[in-house]
Amino acid sequence: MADIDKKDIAHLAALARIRIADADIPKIADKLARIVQYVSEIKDATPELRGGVVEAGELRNVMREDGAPHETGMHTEDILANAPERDGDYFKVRKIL
Amino acid sequence: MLNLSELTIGKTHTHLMSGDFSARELTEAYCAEIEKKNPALNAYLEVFLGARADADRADKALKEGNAGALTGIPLAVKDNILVKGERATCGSRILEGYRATYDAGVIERLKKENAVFLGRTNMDEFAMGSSTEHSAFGAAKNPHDESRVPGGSSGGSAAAVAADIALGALGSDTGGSVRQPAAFCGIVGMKPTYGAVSRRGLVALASSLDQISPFAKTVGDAEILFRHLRAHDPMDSTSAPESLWEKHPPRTDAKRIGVPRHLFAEGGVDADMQALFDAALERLRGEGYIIEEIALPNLRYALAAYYIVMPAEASANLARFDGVRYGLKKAGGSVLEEYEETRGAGFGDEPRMRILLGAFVLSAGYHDAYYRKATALRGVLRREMDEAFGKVDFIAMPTTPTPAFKRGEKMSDPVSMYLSDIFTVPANITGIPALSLPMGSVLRDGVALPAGFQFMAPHFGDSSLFAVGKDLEKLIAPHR
Repeated sequence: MADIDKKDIAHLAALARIRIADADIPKIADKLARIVQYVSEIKDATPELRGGVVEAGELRNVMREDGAPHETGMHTEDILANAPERDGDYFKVRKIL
Repeated sequence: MLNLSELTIGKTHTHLMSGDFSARELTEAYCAEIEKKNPALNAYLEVFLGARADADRADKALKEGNAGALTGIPLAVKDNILVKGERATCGSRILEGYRATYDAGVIERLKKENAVFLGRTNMDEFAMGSSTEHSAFGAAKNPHDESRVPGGSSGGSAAAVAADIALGALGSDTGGSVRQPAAFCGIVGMKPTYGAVSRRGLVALASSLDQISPFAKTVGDAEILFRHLRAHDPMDSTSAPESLWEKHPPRTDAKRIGVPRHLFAEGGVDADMQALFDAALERLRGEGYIIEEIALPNLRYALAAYYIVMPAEASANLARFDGVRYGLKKAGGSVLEEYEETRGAGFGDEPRMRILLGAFVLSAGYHDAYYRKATALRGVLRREMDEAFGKVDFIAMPTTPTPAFKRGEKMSDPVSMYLSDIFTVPANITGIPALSLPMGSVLRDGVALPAGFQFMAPHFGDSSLFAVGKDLEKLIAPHR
């Protein structure tokens, strides 16, 4: 997988929800191909042979008592002040369905 | 007139306590110096209007006898750490105009100490870069040579401390973003054990690697900052509980230093950097340290694993920037088009590329070959490090293979840029603490450029790093 073509970039851009202008695609494809080629060297590493597949670090759950973290609405105005578009106490978004 | 270049956090505390100058006078002196030096360096993106009020609060605490080691100390804050009510942009257009709605865990702690926040510093966009050239608000420059980069991604914070326009600073280190710029700017940078410092309120790049980290002029100052930053935070579920620290009490007998010399040729270490490093080792040997060669056979894959894990996590973390709740919004015909337009316009080249790379290594058909393999490799590297730390107390390497490079030099070749982090990435990939401090300078085009020496220690061995760092600092720069 050293070749990353225009179709691959369009597919990845769609997955990542990023609009990329056609003019930018060749430059991005070239850089991405170089990086993928570099990181592909991990295929030469054989961690599985050294005692089975290991995961990085242990996984554990961090729990807390369920409860109201703070007074309802105390942060609403601060948070909505950052909204690009709002309608009262709601973020305004395009119709989804 | 205060001589800011003479000051350290430790000395300043003594001056403030004995009333030689007030916190307000000190802050005014720094603000005046910022005004003078920042236009050329572009280290700060904004000086906080509240800095003088912070200083007045510090003076009140001093007068009332409630002062601690950081009371009145003027600090710079990387632009991805939230200070309530202040802007935070992560060096990106997509967050232009955003104001933090809460304090980061570390800011909360520093406010309790009545530290002074001078302003927010320049960075590579979303901490993606090694030169601070990927900032949407213009590159920062190296105070030792303005034609060179200060390193990155926390280049603004490093340049600020090196240029005496901050007494200390906060950065974030995901793959070397504090240690590498510290080395390039000739100051001290320390990446704590993963989980030592709360990540709450640090805008995430790669959550399993990110760690807020201090910059300072001396090892002692970095230790003071670290002691105030380190704490268990119940609001960061990856924060290390106190019980883990109690299991690893500070050691005073750590004297064995392992050197994985086999990595140096592969990392492309310049001959004069290598000579400085070897001279430093010799001086440590003279102080009673035992130097031995060690082998870390899989460490050569750490950088490749990093450039899989980091973009994978970044692609998920940066999904939140969609134009709905904060920052930039571009109109589109449908909700999907609005996301695509907003993200296409708001993210610069490097974040766009890393998000696509993350999507690639996680996508169907490639996930096993890349992401799973990199995760498995992380486990192997961690075991390899643990084995090494069974034999030695520290691992030493140059922080970077070369001194600061020229601006523009590596912008067209991403892999050559990434290689400047080859010796810093292993600490993030395995979660261990590491310290970079100056080891002298090398000449490039007639200019003396700083070089960094890096110590790594086992998990929770943070305090022993300061001990060995102070020993080396005494040998290299006794006047500190």
